[in-house]
Amino acid sequence: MIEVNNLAVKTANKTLLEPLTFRIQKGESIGVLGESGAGKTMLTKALLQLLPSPLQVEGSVVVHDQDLNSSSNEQLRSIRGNVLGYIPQNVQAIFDPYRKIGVQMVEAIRAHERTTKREAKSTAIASLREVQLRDEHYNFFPFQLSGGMLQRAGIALVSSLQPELVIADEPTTALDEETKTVVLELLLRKQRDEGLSILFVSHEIDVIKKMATRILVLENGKCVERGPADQLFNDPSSSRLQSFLHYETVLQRGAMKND
Amino acid sequence: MLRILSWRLFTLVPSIILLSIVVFLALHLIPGDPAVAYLSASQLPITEEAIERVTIELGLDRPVWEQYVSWFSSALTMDFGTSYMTGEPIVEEFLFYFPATVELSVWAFLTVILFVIVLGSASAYFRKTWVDYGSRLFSIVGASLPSFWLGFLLLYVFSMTLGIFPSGNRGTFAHYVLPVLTLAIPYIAIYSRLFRTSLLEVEKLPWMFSARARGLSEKTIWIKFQLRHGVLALLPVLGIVMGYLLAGTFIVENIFSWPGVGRYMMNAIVQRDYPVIQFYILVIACMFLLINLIVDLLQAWLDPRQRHQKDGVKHV
Repeated sequence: MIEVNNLAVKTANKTLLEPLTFRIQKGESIGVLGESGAGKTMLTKALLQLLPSPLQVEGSVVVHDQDLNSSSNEQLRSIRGNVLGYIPQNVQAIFDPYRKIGVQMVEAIRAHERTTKREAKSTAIASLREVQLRDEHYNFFPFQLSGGMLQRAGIALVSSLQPELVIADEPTTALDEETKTVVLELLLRKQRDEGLSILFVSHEIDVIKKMATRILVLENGKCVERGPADQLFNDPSSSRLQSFLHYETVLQRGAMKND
Repeated sequence: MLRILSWRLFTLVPSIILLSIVVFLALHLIPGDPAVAYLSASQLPITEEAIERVTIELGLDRPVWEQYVSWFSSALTMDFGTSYMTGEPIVEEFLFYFPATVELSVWAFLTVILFVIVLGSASAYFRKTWVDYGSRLFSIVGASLPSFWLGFLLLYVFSMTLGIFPSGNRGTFAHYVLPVLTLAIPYIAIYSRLFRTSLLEVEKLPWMFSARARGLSEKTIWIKFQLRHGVLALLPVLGIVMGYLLAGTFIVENIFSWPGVGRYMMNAIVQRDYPVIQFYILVIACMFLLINLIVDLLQAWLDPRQRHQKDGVKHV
C-alpha cells in the first residue's frame, strides 16, 4: 500500500532523519516508538511531503505506484486526506477555531469528492455518529468541545474522507485514560472492519503495544530497532527499547503498589 | 452578541461624560482669556469694559463646574453655543462642512482597506520576490513622506505638470483622487506591511498544517483560513485608521481647497474660537468611541470565541 525507501530528512549540513525503509500493507498497523526529539513527527511530515522548505527530503514514498517525492502539488493534494489521513497530537491543531466543525468537514469532503453540500453534510454527520458524537456537534465550534471530543471529531473528519492509511501522530498523548481507550478502540475497530492501515506514532509503550503488530524504534533520527511487536517486546536488543520496557515495568509496579 | 452590544452601549455613556469633562477642563487650562478671544474673533475693540461685559455675558465669571454643567446641559439638547467668529450656531456650521470631510475620509478609508489587503496579500504570497521587495520599498517611502509634502508633490506632478487631475475643490470623481491618495498612502504604507506580517503569522498556526494534511487546495486555505484570520487581526487597527482619517484632514483640505471641517477648524484655531474647538474635539472623540464600538462588534461577529465568551465555553 505504501512503500518507504531510504526516506531521509536533511538540512544543508546535517541529517535529521537517517535513511529509513519500510512498507505498510493494507489493514496493517505499524507503531513508531521514540522519545521526544527522536524524529517521529518529522517522519510523519516527510511522509505527507509537508516539511518546511529548508528541509530536504530524500528517498521515496510510494503510494499506489506513485512516488510522492516527484508528484505535482495537485497530485499530492489529492492523496493527502483521501489516501493518507492525518491525526495530530494537539487536538487544538485539527480545526480552525473560527469555523464550525461541520463546515470544515464538508469543505474537506468536497475537496476530494464531487458531491453536493447536502450529501457531504450527511457523510459528515454519519462520521460524527460513528465516533459517538451527536448530530448537533456538526454545528459546534471547536472550542465548544472538550479535548477528547475534539480528538474524536478529528477522527470523524479523517474517517469521512475514507483514507487507506491513517498517520496518527501521538493522538492520545494529551488525553485522559478513558478518552484514550475510546480513541484507540475507534481506530482498532476501523482497522478491523474496514481494513484501515495505521502508522501509529507514540512515546507511550502501552499504546504502541495495543495498536501495533510491527514496530520501528527511533532514537536521535535513526531507526535503532525494528521487527514484529511480540518479538521485540519479549527480546529487545536496543538500549532504547530496553529502557522503554524498564520504565514501563517500574510504572506498573508503582501503580500496583498504589492500588 | 446582544449582550456585548448592550454592555458596550452602557459603558459608552460614562465614557462620553468623562470625555466632555476632560475636553472642557483642557480648554480652560489653555493660557489666554476667552473673553479677549471672543472680542478679537468678533472684531470688536478690546477694552476693559468690553472684556468685563463679555466675561459676564459668556458666564466666565462663574465657577468652572457651574460653567461645565450649563454647557453640558445645553449640549444634551444639541445646543453647543455659537461661534465667536460668525455668531452662528456651531452645530449648524459644523453640519454644513462635515459631510465633505466624511466623504473624503470614507473614500480614503476604502482605498486604505483595498490597497492594504491587495498589497499585503501580494507581498505575503510572493514573499522574498520582487513583489515583496517592491512593496517594502513603497512602505518605507510612503511612511516617511509627510502628508503636506506628499500632497504638494501629487499636486505638482498630476495636476500642474500632467494636468490629469484638478488641483482642488469638490465635484467629480477626478476631484477626489489626489486628496484621497494623499490621505491614504501613509496608512497603506504602514498597514500593508502589518497585514503581510499577520498573514505570515497565520501560516505558522498548527491547524494550517492539518488543513494541508487533509488535502485542501492552497486557494481554499488562502481565502478561508489565512485571509480571514489576517483581516481579523487588522480590524482593530482599521478602526483607529478611520478615526485618524476623520480627525486628520486639516492639511489635505487646506492643500486641495477641500470645503470640509478641517479648514473650518483651522480658522477656529487661528481665531481661538473656543466653543468651536471644544465642540470639534468632543465630536472627534465621540467618533473614536463609536468606531471602536463598531470594531468590537465586528470582531465579535467574525470571532465566534468572543461571541460565546459571555455564555462561557460549553463542553457538551
